[in-house]
Order: sequence, then C-alpha cells, then structure tokens
Amino acid sequence: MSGARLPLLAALGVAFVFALDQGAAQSGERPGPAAPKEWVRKVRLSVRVEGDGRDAYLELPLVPTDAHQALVEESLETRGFAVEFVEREGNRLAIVTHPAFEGKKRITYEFTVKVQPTRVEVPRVPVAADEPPREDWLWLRPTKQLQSASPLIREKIVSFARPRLAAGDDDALRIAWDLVQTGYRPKADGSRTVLKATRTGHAAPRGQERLFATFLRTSGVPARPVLGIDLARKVRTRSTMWVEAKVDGTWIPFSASRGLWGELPPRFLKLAHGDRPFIVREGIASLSYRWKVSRPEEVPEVVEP
Amino acid sequence: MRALRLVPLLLLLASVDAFAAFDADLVLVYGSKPARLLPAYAAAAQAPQKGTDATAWLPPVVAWREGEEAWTQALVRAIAPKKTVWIAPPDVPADALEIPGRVQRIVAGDADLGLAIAEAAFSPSDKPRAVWVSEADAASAIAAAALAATERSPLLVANGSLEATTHAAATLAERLGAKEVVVVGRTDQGRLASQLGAKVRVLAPEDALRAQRNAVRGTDHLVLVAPADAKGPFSPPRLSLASVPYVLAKGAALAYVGEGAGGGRTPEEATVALEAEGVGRFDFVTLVGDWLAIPLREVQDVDQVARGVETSRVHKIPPFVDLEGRPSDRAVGRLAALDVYDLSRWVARIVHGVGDDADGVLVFANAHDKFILGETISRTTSAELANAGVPVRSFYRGEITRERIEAELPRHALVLWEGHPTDLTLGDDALPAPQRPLPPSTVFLQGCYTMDRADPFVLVERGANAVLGTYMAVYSSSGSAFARAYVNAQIHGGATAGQALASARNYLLALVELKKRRGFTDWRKTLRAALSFDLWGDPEAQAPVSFRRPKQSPVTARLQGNRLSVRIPAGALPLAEAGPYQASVRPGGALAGLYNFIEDENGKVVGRRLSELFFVEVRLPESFGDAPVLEAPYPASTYAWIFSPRTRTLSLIVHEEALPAPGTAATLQFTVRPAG
Repeated sequence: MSGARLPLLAALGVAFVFALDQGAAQSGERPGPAAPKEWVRKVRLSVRVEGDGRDAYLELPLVPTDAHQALVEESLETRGFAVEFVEREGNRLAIVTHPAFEGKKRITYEFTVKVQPTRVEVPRVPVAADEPPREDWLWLRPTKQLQSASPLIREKIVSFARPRLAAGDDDALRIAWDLVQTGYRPKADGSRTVLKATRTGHAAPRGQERLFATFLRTSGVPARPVLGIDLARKVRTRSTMWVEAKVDGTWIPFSASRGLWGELPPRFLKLAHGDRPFIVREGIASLSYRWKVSRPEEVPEVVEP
Repeated sequence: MRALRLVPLLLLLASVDAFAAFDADLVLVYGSKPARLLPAYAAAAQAPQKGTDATAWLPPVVAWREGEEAWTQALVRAIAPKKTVWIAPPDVPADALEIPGRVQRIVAGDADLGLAIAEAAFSPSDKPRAVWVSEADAASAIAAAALAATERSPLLVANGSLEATTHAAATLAERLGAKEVVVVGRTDQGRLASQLGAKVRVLAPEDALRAQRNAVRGTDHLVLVAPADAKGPFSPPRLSLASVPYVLAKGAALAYVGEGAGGGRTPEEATVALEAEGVGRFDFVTLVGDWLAIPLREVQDVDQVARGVETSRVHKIPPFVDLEGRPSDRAVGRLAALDVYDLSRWVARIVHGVGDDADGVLVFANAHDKFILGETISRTTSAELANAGVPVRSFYRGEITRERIEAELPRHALVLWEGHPTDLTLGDDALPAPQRPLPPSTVFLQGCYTMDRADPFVLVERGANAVLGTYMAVYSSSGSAFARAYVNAQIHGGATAGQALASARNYLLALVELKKRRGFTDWRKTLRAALSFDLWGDPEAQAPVSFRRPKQSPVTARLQGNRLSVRIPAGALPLAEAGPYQASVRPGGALAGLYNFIEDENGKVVGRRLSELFFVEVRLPESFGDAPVLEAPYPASTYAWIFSPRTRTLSLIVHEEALPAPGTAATLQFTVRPAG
C-alpha cells in the first residue's frame, strides 16, 4: 500500500468540532469577536527513513480534530511501506511497517487544518487525597518523563503546597502552576527532564511543561503533555509542547513556559498527546523530518452529514 | 438492621467455595486501599513453615492497578500459580491480567469487600480465635493485620463507620465460632460491647504494636514503618501497607517512625528506645518507606566544612552511620519504591525468591574513561569473583554501550556499575533498563549520587531485589574500594547484604584511621565515602550469586587468646592494569587510592602501583573491654583499627609495608589488649 486518503474521517472530525464549537459558544466559554481569527494552513511533513535490514516500525501521529482545531483534508504517502490506521489512548496513529527494510525512503503526510484560538475559564480543582477513578488513571500514573511518584517530585510539591494548604488554598492547578513559575528558573538550554530540573533548579521550556504535567498528576489531576507544531515559526524545527489538564471531564490547554493559562493561540496545532516520542520507531537506522507550512489557496467546503 | 442487610451477602458468599485461609499460590489485589489490601494479608496467612523465623506463611500477595500490568504480569508468569485468588471491585476487567491455573474471584464493592475476603477464606472449621477489626487509619490497620495474620484470624478494616464494621465483625465471629472481636483503634470498649452484646476487646494502636512485638520476642530483626505515608494528598506511596508480609516472613518486630503515629521518631531513636526497654537486640533493621516518610539525615559535606568552604554542599546520609566515623554495627536496609504496587512485588520476590533465573556477575566500569584508578580496583574485584568460581563478564570504557547495557542487564544476578551515573542514563534520569523484566538481581551503583536519581526506583520496579549506591559525591578510588570490600565480605565472610554493607563501611572507616596514621590530610574524603553508601533491599538477603571455595586462598585472621594472626597467602590474583595504574592483590585483600610510583632504570616514572592492603574482622570477647588496643612489631603507620562495642567486632587494616617485602607471603602477628 503506497498511500492512503482519509477524507471521510476528516469530514466527520470537522462536523464534530463544529458541534463542539457551537456548544462552547452557547455556554459563554468562547471569547467574543475581539478574539484572533482562525488560521487555515496547509502543512507537509516529510519523514526521511533509513533502514539497515531490520523490520521497520513507525508510529506517525495524525492530526486530531478537537475543539481547538479541525482537520479539513489529509493524505499520507508511504511509498512502499504498509500502513494501518489505529486509535490509541485518544491519538490517531498511522502504523507504518516494512519487513527487512534497507535503503532510504521518504514518507509524506500532508494535511489542511483550521485552527482557532481557545480560551477557557479554568475552574478550581482541589488537590485529591483519594484513589482516582479507574478511567483517569491513564493520565495520572507516572511515566518515563512524568515521574509523578518520585519522592523528589513529591517532596518539592509537598513543601511548596504545605503553607498554602494550611491557609485553605487547595487549588491543585494553581499550586502546580505557581510552583513551576516560581520554583524553577527558565533557561533555554536548561533541564528537559523533571528530576534533573528539580535537582538543578532550572528548566528548559519542554522541562517546564513536563514539570507542570507531572505536578498535576502528583496532585491527582489528570494531565498530559501535548506534542504539536508551531505554525508561526519560520524554522524547520517547529515541534513544540504544551499541556492539557482534565477538569470536570474537559481537557483544558496550558503552557507553563509561555504563560498560557487555559488558552491556546491558533498558531499551535496538536498532533498527539501523552508521554511519547513524536514518532515511535523501531528497527530504523536513522530518521529525520521537516515541516513545511503554507497558506492554502482554497479550503474545501465542509458539509455537515 | 445492619446485620439484616448483610444477610444476602452472607448467603451469596456461603455458596462460594472457600479455600482454607486462601489456599493459593498467589493473591492479586486490585488497588491499595487499606480496607482491601490488609484483610487480604490476614486471609492469606497460614501456619509458618518449620525451621523458619516467620510468624506466618503467606503466598505472594501482590497489589496492582492500571499501569502496573506489565510488571505484575511478569511476576505472575514467574510464579506460575496453580491457584490464584483475585480480589477486586466489580468494574475491574477480569481479563486485565493473564492468570494460569484456577482463579477464585472475590469481587465486591468497597463496602463489602473486606467481609467478602474474610468469608471466602474462613469457615467455622478453621476455628479462628477472634475476628479483628481496625480503624481506617494505616497505623491501626497495619498492626491489626500483622496480629490477625499471626493468629490466622480474619480482619476487617473500617471503610466508613467503625461501629458498622464492628457489627459486621460480630456477626462474622458468631458464624465462625470465634471467641471475641478485637478492635484496634481509639474507641470505647464498654460502649461497643454494650451495643454488640458480644465479647469485644479494644487495643490502642500502640498496644497492638506492643502485642506484635511480644509475639516475636527474641527476634534480632526490627522493621520500621511510617504509616503516615498512607494518607494525605500528592500521591502518598502507601509503602507502609506492604510491610506486613515482610514483617511476618521475617518474624520481625514492628515499630513506627516518622510523622503521625511514628511520633516524629527517627530510625535510630526508635531502635535505641526499644532496646532500652529490653524489647530486643536488633542486629538487622529494615526501613520501609522512602526518604519523605522516613527522612534521611542531612549534613554538611564533612570535607568541605573542614576545608572552610563557605557554602558547603548538604548531603543526605543513611541511618545508623556516624559522622565521627564510629563503626557501623547494624545490618540496615531500606525498602523504598515508587508506590505500594512496586513494593508488593518486591516483597513477594524477597520473601518467595521469585524471579527469572540469572547467574553470574556483570561489571561495567569506567564508561566515561575518566576513572582509571577506580577501574584498576574494579578489575581486581572481577578477578576476586572469578577466583570464587563465579562467571563474570566485565566491560570497560568504550565497550560499554547503551545496547550492551540493555542486552546484559537482564542476564545477571549481580551487576556492578562503577563510574559516573550519567553513563547509565537515558535522557538524564532513567536507566536504559530494558523494557523486559529484570531478574531478582543486586545492582551496585558505585558512583556519585546514584541513589538520588530515578535509577533505583526503575530497577526495583522492573525486578531487582537490591540496589546499593550513594547520596553524595565519592572519589572513584574510595568507591571502587568500597565495592571491592562489599564483595569480599560476601565471598569470604558469607555476609548478608546488610552485613556486607556494614563491613565495607567499616573498611573505609579503618582506612580513614590508617590515613590519619600515615599523615594524609585528605582522609575526610574517605570518611565521606564511608558515610555515603546505602542499601535498598533486605539486609538479611544472602549473596545473589553462589560462591565456590576460592581457587587461591584468601587473607584470613585468627584470634587465639590475645594473639591476632593475619595470614597473607603467597598467591595473588592476576595483575590488574589500567592506564598508568597496576594492582596486584591477594584474594580477600584490599585496595584504596594509595599507590607508589614505578620508575624505570633511569628513574623516570612509568607507572603507579597500588599499595596492597589487608582488611580483616574478628569478634573479641568481653574481656577486652570496649576500647581494645592493638600492638605489633610493625611501624604504627602500617596498621589501624576500629572497634564496635555493640557487635564486639574489631576491624583491622594493614598496609603492605608491614610485610617483609611487597607481595610476599607472611603471617602478621598482633597483640590485643584492653585499654589502660
């Protein structure tokens, strides 16, 4: 299978997001006409893969549709790789495989998206003391980069939160946010992992995001890093990260490194969430990728089913 | 009315086949609520096996939940149970784990699960003496679980109202023919008895603990637990709950430390206080809890303070070590894990010896190519192990790659890592430990701050049984010398993990005294290394590999009257060389960062030869007093000693300059006399 087109999925996704959008507008959570307008962009991801004879396996995230963004159309050219589309933990993934892969090949993923600004009133969430519901555990458990059960992390947040809890302030989101903002020195080349950042006291932007998600998990608030791209950046490496926290059943965006509290500008496009690499790979000798973002000449009309 | 409400449940449970006290190879408990996990311990307890110190025998009782499936599944596979008891609320999918053999499922909501567990495990024919009830707090529930399991009686832990749970217990007691209901908590005995119309006895948590210790009077093992780690916000790890099967298997005394029920006591304070009360003489102490629950002492860097560094670093130090360098006189270990799930699997591995077979030793040394002196000592450690008939695979410098670590780590029972910890890391905070499980190995992380990282937690999560490492910076020579002394204590002294740790610490402390005698001013760096090493694991654990009688005889010591003879054999281990360093050492011999320059015929320095040291330990009778003195016909700068009045162990270190010539065989003679 050399390629796949997913127009139906895209149309369904857009319909879903429009429905969500309308509901949100009615509830008054959306900003008024003064908010920035939506962005429409055509994006191409080129992945160069080199094999060394092993069975190659890649997990490529595909753009999801949600309240922030709508996938208009997409295509995936896999050039000799087999591809299977799956959904895992809320991520749309293309599983790309090739037995005994040797040589170099390029995989191209092109899509058009509409992205609009998101701004949400963030409710207060008390720090949890009980066992969480089973359905939330996936986004609460410690993972490789979100070591929320580490005594080092618990020590950090317990000592920070103790006086606030004693004063009656038990807002888990604010405690975690303020700890990242005040307890770590932002540094472009600082620590990207939470334990090292906690030991050194400085954190790179990615480290700040991971710290926020980690402290939320420690506090009993389901949280996950979001892997995305910055559509506005003029550089080849557009990959970026922010955080989503689940509050009252809704995932709300935050970015501790950018000071974005419950909001996400349209320049940020989500690709996947969770503590995972952007492209999961096995049996690959080397892999590189680049993004190209452009304004589409014409965006296809979306029809409600 | 409450009793009437229980009737349908009792009728339902009566139709379930009851194993006698969970006659099972494995008990799987979903979640870690005290009301779920602790009754399972009591229900699983059987009479201890003869010839053991245990107060009860329990099959592996493993707590698990989402996120733990992979490692839990690996343990289930290793146990290969024929009969498993599954305890879970109704919404947990029955196929979440693949369980071979027969499975008895006890499925109920939290309100009924404790009673369901008791009903499934006990019948009137078991004739339990009592039904135990505990308040919801961990301090009460842990003590109650230990007592209930010891006498093979059921336990209910209050999930809401203590009165309602006691009512249920009274009904259960009547059905089982138990003589009384014992309530652990702070409640009014008279009021409960009058409400129930049954025989009720109330024990305060501290009285329950006292009763537990009375049941194991004479034990030399104390387990210190911090029940405060089971409550509160910010993901409390609840490690204290998983201490119960460990306490029962060891036949150990139980005491609380830390905040809350621990009364703010440190491990040292709790241990000394119990010994002062005549409760025991505790040669083995196990701490169950991370350093938040059972804090480590924090001290300023002894070397930097002495050098007048203005803002000296602050280090954590393990319990029962002395800043002044007094000898280590207890075998101490800590069971610390990320959460109760990891710890429950770890305890199962420790108690039941569960795990994939692995043998032999893996040595990774000097991956950074910076610690040549340490590598030289490490090479002699490999040779020492090989001399004791142990298969050893050693890799140095560029031979150590991530792929090699991932491939080799799961295959060995003892892993000795010597070098900077970042060599072992992925990103910068996790071992490149393979995703597959590890065997129940001992992993010795000899480097700076190796216990202050994610590594030990990751290793324990994936199956390691013991991790040794440091909370501060150590020089490679001291660190590698410590590791060598640890290995020697196990090979030649048959030491357990905790005893070997104490012996290796005493080696460095004796080395401090020797350095002082030789006029070296940098002895505080050695003292710092002596203070830094800690054991995460069972201090009673035997060596993870089997040793054969050494091919070449080791250094030995013998006390006859007041004459202490140290026999140095002729045969040395193969010469170890790395960079400019070389070391020739007899089996059982010791090394440190002491060396001489090697000169060629023109007087040009062409290398460095490590000085050979000899370290022996002997027990002295009471007649030598508490401060014995050694005398010998050798220069005072060639030997030094430390002595522990508590264990009456004399630790003697001898420099090769006491020999007639370097490398020769000899029997060195010392005279021991009381001070004064």
